[in-house]
Amino acid sequence: MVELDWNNVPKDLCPVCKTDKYLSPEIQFKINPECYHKICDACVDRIFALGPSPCPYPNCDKILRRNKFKAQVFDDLNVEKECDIRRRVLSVYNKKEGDFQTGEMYDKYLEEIEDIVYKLLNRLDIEETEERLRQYSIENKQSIELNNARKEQEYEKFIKLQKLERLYKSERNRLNSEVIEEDKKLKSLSKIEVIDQLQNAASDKDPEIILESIRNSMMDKAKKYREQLQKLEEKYLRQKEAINKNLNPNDIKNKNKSKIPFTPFNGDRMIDLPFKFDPKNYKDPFNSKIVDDIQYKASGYKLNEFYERSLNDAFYGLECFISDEKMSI
Amino acid sequence: MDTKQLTPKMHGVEEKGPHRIDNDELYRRSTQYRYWSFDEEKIEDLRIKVNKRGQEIFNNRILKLDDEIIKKFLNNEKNFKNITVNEERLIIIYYARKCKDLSNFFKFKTQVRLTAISYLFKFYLIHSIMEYYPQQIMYTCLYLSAKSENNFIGINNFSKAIPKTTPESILKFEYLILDSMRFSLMCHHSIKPLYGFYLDIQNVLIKLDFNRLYKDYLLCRDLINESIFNDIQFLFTPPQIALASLYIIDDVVCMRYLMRKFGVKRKQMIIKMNQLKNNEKEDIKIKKDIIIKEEIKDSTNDIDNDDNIDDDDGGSSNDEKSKKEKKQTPIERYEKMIEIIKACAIKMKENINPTVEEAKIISLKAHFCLDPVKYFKKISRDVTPINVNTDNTDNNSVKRENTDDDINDDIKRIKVE
Repeated sequence: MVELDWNNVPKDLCPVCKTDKYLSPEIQFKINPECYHKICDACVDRIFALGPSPCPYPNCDKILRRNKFKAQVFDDLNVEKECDIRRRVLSVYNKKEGDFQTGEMYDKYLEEIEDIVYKLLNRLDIEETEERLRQYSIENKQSIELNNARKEQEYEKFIKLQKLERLYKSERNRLNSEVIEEDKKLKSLSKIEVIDQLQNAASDKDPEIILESIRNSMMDKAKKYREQLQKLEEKYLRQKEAINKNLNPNDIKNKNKSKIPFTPFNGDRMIDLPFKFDPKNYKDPFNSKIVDDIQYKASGYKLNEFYERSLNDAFYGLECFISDEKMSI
Repeated sequence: MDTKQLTPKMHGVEEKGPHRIDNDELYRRSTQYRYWSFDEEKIEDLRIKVNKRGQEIFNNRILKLDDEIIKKFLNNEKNFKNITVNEERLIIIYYARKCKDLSNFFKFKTQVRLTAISYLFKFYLIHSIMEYYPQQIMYTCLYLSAKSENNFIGINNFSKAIPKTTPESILKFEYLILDSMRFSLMCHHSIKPLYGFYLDIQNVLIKLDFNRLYKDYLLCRDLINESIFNDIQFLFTPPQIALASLYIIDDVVCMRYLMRKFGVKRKQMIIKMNQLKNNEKEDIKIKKDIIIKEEIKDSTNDIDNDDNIDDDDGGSSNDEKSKKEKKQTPIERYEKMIEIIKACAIKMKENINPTVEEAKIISLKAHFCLDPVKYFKKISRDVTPINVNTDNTDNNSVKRENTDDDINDDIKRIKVE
């Protein structure tokens, strides 16, 4: 039997019981964040059934507990490690951007987090960093708890939103499919109906009137469905908004944001134009030829836009009196 | 300085609703208004300043020359007169007209031509012809304006069509021109506003004969095309120039339109006129003519127009709103407008068209200023005394030196080929 190289365990093999994925495909590997050594599910159950035991890997004297074992998410153990560390650090350093007065302060905070993660991952000044983490968690115990609570709340709301959306989508799909079905039914039905009615009342009713009445009834039904759809959408939007409003009532930053959108003129253009725009009644011997020319139409040329621009230009600075206004210079 | 006006007043705005910018305010933010609008004195100042700087540059050039040439120069100096401000202006206009011909040769749009000429004038408000000779600058201006007015032509094709130029010789001034113009490439010409008024008049003066309006419009266009050679582009805004051209061609239509537009009622106007009659007798004579003309027109063209005037259309009701803000009565606004238009019309009629002979004399002087050495070598070879202004013998040398100026001949030559 070939001696196993403990430092370089094959990917699909449990080094303890030597079970192979090839022979037992249902095998699952687990790791413990203490040492990140890979052991199969069955071995974990067997070795750690009676409580904490040392890691079966040679030269690894870590005492492991069964409840700390977890499935490996990433192939690369380094990534796995970093994720764990990050999760741990972030559970303490859990402030949000809204908690800071300026963006710079928040950036510093993020920098600090990265610093700690890096040091823990690469095992630099571990004790010092751990101490720092502990210190921070003690100092900010209250706010951490608060933030955690908030995070949970947000998560809850997120779940709610998701549920709502799912509900809305299924409802909408149901309605849509109903509409389609109804349409199909109506079409076939109406055909029969038309023939029937035409047969029965051929002598005393105008066939066109009959056709129209049927068409109207079809339209009415389609309209109803459309209305229903619209109502559903409105309801959904309303609920979504309600949830969203609850979501961040104490977000400081959003309140301070100016409500005026950006305008390129640092203000809006006049609503009342100084002229009455009446493109149909403008006469121009030259342009009226152009209107019908395909060459101009093809490129998206629109005469009305040209008219409007010219008219706008006509009043562009009409009452700027340069000689008066620039005299002081 | 300018940016201060542009900063938004956010806090005030928030309460009163969005801040509205009217067309005049918008125009005041354009580079044409901020950089290139002056009153008459300022233009004159600029030209004098430029001329002085040109002289200085010329003098420095002379000082750098060898002693011998300086001696010779000093001998001849009595015959040489400095280039005056007016002469500078003449030669620029001469080349602006050449620019028009060249643009027509390339079959550029009106916009391109007007912009090129505008660039040329703007450039020589900053530099003197003793610094840069207008001919080359003119080529570059045209090339540049073709680019900026979206009518691009490749530099190789462009320079091929113009004799004695290379792509490099045209391109080398490009940055200089841009820099002198402070990169303000947008030119608002009065052709567009004229067309706008032409459309709006159709809407406002419904009873006006269309053929008359169209004829007026075409004449106005010619007038505006010609007026680019004046200074009015610096002195007035494009709509004002457009209206002034209309005023020259057909003052009745112009005034009638403006009265309607500003919501001036005819009765008010007459009362005002009567007041003026009592005050100043001289003024009345001019204005009376206008009234008479209008009344004649009323009785002939639109008899029942009075009703229309009383119930004003949408255009003037808008004006009434802005009127309240400015606290100006319609008559005041109207009269101010007419006053400006008249002033503009007077300026517009000023038609400067330097002859070839004038241009040759000035261009010879300019060439001498730009390159005294070359000029002196020619003189010493010919051993003829320079007497720029009068001598016939000298005209030969003038011609030899200036053949490259005559683009017309060159263009003809190309056409023949």
